Amino acid sequence: MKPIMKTWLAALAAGFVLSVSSVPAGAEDLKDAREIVDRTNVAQYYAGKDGRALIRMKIVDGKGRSQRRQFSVLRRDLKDGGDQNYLVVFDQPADVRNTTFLVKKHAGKDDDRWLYLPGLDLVKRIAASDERTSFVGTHFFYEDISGRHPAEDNHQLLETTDTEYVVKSTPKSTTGVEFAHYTLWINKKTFLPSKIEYVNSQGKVYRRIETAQVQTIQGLPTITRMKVSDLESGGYTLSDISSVQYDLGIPDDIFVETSLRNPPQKWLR
Amino acid sequence: MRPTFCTTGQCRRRSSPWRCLLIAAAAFAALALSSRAFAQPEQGEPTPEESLTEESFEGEAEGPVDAADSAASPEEAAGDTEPLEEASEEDWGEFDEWEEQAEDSPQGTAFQFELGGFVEVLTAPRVVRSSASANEFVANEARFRLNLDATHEVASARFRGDIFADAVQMRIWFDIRDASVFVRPSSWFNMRFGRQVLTWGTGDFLFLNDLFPKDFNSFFIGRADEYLKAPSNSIITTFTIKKVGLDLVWTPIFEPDRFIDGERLSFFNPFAGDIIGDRSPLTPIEPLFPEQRLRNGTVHGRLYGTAGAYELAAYGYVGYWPQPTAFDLADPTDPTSVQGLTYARLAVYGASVRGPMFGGLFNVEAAYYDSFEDRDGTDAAIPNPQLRGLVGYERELFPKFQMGLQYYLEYTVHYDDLIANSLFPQYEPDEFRHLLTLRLTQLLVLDRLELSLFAFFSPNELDTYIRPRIAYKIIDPLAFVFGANLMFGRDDFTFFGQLQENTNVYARLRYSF
Repeated sequence: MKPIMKTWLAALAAGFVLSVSSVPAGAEDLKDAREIVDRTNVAQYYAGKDGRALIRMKIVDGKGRSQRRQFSVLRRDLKDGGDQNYLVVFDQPADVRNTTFLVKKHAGKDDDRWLYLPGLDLVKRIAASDERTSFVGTHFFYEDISGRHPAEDNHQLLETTDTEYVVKSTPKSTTGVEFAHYTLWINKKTFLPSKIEYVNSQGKVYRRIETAQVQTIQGLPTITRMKVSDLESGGYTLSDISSVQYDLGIPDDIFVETSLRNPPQKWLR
Repeated sequence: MRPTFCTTGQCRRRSSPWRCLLIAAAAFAALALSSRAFAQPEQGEPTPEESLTEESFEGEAEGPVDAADSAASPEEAAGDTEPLEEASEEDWGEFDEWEEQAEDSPQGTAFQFELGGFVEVLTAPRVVRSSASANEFVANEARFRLNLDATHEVASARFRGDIFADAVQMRIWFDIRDASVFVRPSSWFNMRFGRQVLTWGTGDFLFLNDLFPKDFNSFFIGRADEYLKAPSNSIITTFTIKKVGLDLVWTPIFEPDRFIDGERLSFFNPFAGDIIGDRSPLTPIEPLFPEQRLRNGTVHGRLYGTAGAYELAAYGYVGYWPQPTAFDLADPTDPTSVQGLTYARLAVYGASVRGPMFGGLFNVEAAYYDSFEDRDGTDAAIPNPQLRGLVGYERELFPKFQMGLQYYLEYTVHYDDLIANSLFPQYEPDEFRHLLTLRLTQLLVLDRLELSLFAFFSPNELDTYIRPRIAYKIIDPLAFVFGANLMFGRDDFTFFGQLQENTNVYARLRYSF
């Protein structure tokens, strides 16, 4: 009995020390690249316990032709930096109106995804293999929308400036990824990336994501405008995020098949 | 031949076309009026809640710089982001205009109203010589679709109506695909009643446990995929408790498939011993319809849930065979006294599993077709029971290149009795009917161009159906589809072989709004 108690106390003490030591992190520069990336992941994709947003995208191809997308997103986190549920309801363009998309994101393993096609009343399961392909015809990838798990890459802190951390991330496995590595410029205070550049195996930057606007919503710094550029074709997509609200108390039981058919209006408006 | 003006359930046969038009017009008018009624008070005076939220948002919209000036720590940095050089002011300015438009539209606690639809032209000439059909086109039509939605937190109404001018059958058709009301009294219970399209099951263009009506004419003539499913007047109730859901569907008046009746597409008729089309006096086939009584309605059920990443479902159905596969006998004791076709009673029990495997998705589904009026298989006028099974696998082989494979089996129970009693043993399908399908889809040009191929092949019947298709979104509202429906078979009487004279190519242009 006694030795167990002792170990337990020791563990508690260790935990206390750890948590104390992490408090002044905001004031002092972080040294561990993985910790920086973990905090970025949480700041960018796990703000609040749940959230709602209206996202509008303008897609411009290399020839200057543009298209629009508009959709609402509901999100609920099961664990910060871990599992999450997303429900996406499309509004524009007209031919995809009322199409819905359900994602059960699992940290460390494949996501479960379903697409609902209203014309056929068909709930279609989607294979998770295409994380790095176009999200609904935009220059964003699925992974840009729902986040790439930090454990999938090795992270190296290249530089710490007055305002930013510069981190180079190299994939642990090259299957399913088109980049050789990518570099993140991370704001030291908000832990939101201001820029991400993707480098191919020839060492050339071919893709860039930039943050154009950050707003503080309910005390949480939030990216509200982003641009992703395909530097090879010259095409780009602008993303505008509005009507953001956090901690609405969205219950977990709306992230089910029946919500694909009949989106929960209570949380969408 | 009595002209059928429209295809909606109420007007299937014998009722006046005007009744149908009136019902539809009333539905349109009611929704349009109700929308105006709901929309006006909102635009005039927003609810206190609404104006509050708007204000608070505006405050935040101006926020980034202010926050950086006044507040400390995280907020301070929030405004630090420098504007992008490449993204010109004009680019982002468009979003501001867009936002204003959105704010103009009524939103809030009352009904939210949406209108949409499309205009579409379709032409599909036959590309093979047909002796059975006089029409050289399987489709030649201009269609107008109206979508109306009135949504509310607890209840919403939906309307999807098509009007199309059909140059093949020289008629104006009116087809209401959806006119339903959805109610969500609580988080664990909801229902939708009215005319609606329903689908479930795991097959890709193969339906085992989905006994909801289908439109096979549309499938083979190049209409959009959604038209493969036909609507029915039904009530669906859904109960959800934790990870388990239960759907119960009741269709008070049995709604059969829109089957191939010879008028548009030709098919094999065992009585004629040949492929028959609109030249034949036997077409269109008008089967004897079950009496419109409540006891003749159909009930569909599904119990479903997830176990980890796997989806499990059990299904049940009590009703009729969805196609007129039974004989209507003048003298019930004499199986040769066939005076027409009708629908036999049917119950179906089944189950399915779907989940990830080897970087893709696999699915297994089985269904037992309990043709309970002829369980021992000796009645020549009624189809035998069948066991149907499906195994499927799909995955993305390369970015945006999707492959799907399916194997489907149809096993006819008491086959010896079927052959011994059948009026046409030479035309009966094999005891085991095997079917393989392949789907290949490639998305290009930021998903605007889709190249796809879907092929069915039966190794025992030696027939095939191939659906190549190119779909291109020219600019956002305008989409062009070019494709073909290619049917071949060694024999005239097999599932796809009988359709070979309908082989066609098609072009479809759609403008969505």
